[in-house]
Amino acid sequence: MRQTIKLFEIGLRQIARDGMLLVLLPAPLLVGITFKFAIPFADGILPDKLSFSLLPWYGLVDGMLICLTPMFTAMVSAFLMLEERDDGISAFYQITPAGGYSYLAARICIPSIWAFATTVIVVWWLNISGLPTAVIWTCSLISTLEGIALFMMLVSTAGNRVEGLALSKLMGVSLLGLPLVWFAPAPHSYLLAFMPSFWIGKIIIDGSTVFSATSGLLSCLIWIALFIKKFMLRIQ
Amino acid sequence: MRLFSALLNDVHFQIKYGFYFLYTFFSAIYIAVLLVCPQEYKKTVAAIIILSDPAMLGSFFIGGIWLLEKGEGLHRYWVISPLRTLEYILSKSVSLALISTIAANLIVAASLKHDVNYAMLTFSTFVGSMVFTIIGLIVATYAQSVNQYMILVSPLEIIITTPPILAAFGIWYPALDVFPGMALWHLINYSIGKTNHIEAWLFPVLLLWFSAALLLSYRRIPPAMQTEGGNKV
Repeated sequence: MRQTIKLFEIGLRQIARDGMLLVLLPAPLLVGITFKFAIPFADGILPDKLSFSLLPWYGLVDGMLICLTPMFTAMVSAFLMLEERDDGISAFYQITPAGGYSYLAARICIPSIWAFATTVIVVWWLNISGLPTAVIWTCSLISTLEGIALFMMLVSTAGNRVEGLALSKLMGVSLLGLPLVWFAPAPHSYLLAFMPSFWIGKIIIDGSTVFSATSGLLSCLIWIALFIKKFMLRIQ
Repeated sequence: MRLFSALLNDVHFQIKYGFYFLYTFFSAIYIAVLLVCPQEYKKTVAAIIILSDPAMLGSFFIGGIWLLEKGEGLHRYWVISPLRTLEYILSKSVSLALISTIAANLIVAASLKHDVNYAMLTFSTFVGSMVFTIIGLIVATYAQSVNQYMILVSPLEIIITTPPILAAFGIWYPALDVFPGMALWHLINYSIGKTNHIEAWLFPVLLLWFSAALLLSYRRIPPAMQTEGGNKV
């Protein structure tokens, strides 16, 4: 535990120096506020001009807000870790007591706790579709675990930071399940049921049921387990 | 010849890093989006896609490429390498512009088919992509990490892509056309047949930006390579 906190502090200092911390910390709140005021404002103008209302899409906007913070956090953490590997620093960690799981915990578990707490607070305060509390908690948890899965995908698959950049573009694709719940009718959208983002959309629309919550969590855990296995094989 | 082998080397690494695979994948997604897109919006959406992704890919990746080379200590060999600054910059920007151009042509060929001027599309995407890559390269020399590079380059990318997106919604001022993003936007629109008329001075605008970016990077790259190791940690 002590090593984990120590390693986390080192990482924190690095992103503070990069200026990323200054962007990462207020970003969820700023995006939430922008959505909260800009979307209803646009909805007030659009129906007059284009006979087009945004109201049916409010849930989708909240879904994006739920997915944003964990994903952004995962990306920042992953690049931190990839650069430590490129620069050979992580090799030093491996031969100290700080190697393996405590290194992983410092780079993703602690940031994820922050991402989860921030998501719950920001979405609870700034959601525009009147999400019930149970939906906010379940979706935030699935989204946080999805962030961890994406982080594990980046650090286990990318050989260096450039490959990491290429893979980070694919992170956007992982959100595809979310809009599909709105755009594709029920049996077809289940094609993306292996994506956690699909279940976030499903829960926002249908409410939090035991089945959808379990499926969502399971879809994350399977991805995380697969990539952790790959990661451990890689660092050995 | 030296430029050619540097270029070949860069292309080789970009294949290895998965850029070609990635853009085959993304082109397929964009083509699918355009195929289901209503006819009346198709060309506008295609122009936005080309400008915001394939044309900008260089500015996204070059930061990682530069920092990886730096981290691997490659820049330390710069003084004894026969490769000239200009060749280095051109090799990086041409190799990335190649992916941009292939992806843009692929997307347009598969989804639009009619009224497309491929020569114009190739020229404008290629030059535009080189401009953005070189601007990204200059920014990269000031970054210490990928996270920092993303913070530095995002405002630039927003400045480049916002006016064209506003223009797509009808908000446009002629004075904005002197910026590379807007010039490229008009050229792409013309080459995919969305507009029938093009101001002739938009070509020089894009070429002027290319020359300016090249000149700036030509001054910036050698000192940036030499400060290697002297940076504050």
